[in-house]
Amino acid sequence: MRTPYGLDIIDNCMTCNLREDRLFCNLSQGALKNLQQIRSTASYPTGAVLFVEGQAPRGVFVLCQGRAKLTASSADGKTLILKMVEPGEVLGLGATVSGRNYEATVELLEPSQANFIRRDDFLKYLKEHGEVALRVAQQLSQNYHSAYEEIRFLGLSHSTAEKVARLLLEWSQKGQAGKDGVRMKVTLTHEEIAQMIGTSRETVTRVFSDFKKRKLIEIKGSTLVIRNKPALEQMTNS
Amino acid sequence: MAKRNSNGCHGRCVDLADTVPAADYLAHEALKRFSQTTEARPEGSVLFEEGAAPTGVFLLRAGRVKLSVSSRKGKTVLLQVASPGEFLGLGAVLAGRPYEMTAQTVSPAEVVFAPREEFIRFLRERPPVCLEVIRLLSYELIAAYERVRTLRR
Repeated sequence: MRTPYGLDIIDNCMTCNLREDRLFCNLSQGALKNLQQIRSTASYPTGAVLFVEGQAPRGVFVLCQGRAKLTASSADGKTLILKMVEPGEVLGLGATVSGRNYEATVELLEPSQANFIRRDDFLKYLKEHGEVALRVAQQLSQNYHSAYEEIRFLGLSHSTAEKVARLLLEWSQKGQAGKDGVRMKVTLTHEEIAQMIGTSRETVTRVFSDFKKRKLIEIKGSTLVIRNKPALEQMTNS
Repeated sequence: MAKRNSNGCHGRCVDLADTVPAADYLAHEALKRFSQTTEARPEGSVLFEEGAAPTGVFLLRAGRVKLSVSSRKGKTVLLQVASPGEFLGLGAVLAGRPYEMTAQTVSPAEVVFAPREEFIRFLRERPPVCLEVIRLLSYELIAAYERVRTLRR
């Protein structure tokens, strides 16, 4: 069934065909049946906010389809992007389980479908399904691991140029290698990139200009081509 | 709340999960299961290195351990100093990823080592324990994001 935002809503977890590559969703039939009973689904437009940093935890959201960004405000009031969220991730886990306020804001980047599970129902569900509890622990660990990669990177690097280079290299892993270099689609604005690495939009624009001038990268619309990968790698700390 | 018996346990351990801070209950249960692998380590001993494959989780029983990350160029950042009762390497072991940091004792220490496979089996068999691990991980994740925010300035 289509919705006003053009999404095909997945009505039932048990018949969902996206389950297989997803850590949380790929459960036994019994666990899925119980999950189906405690979740309520909704579709949201671009820009919708699922929860806000500092709010008391109502429950978790499983992002079925779509994309989101996780943001928080820095000590001096700037907005930081902590990470991008891919479908299949469970959002608000840390807060829901610990009872602390949501540690970040989730904002949708495209029309999305998400399943909401109330806090009490979720905790009870975890207590009754050991396999799910383990998956949740695994997802939290992966989030923790990524956060530490970020900490490591931030703690160890100096310049914005280094951080942009590292980001481009990270994205290039999902790009296509061709004879002119590695090409990939960049859908973030300079402002958003600045929020990801903790600097100003002007600095990001300056770094990109500099990289283009030095023929390290080439930009054609929303497609970016890395022409000199070794040079970018040399820039980064590790 | 039930009175503590001679073991130091409340009557029903499942209730413990709701009334005692996550780490204490978890440390208690992990000790019961893995205490035969308690080792004494001298000061300066490396428990695990950043980037190494995750062999298992360490529970610190006594002493202090520093956690740090470093770059190839030799720059080191101290992340924190762990105290007794804390679990080290939990995230890496559960995610199946390399250790995110290096753990090195800064005093003579006593540690309990839980090998990866056995630790995961332990969690699978004991949902209340798994729930406590989740709680602990969630505190650590929140702290990690806090750290990211501070470093981003």
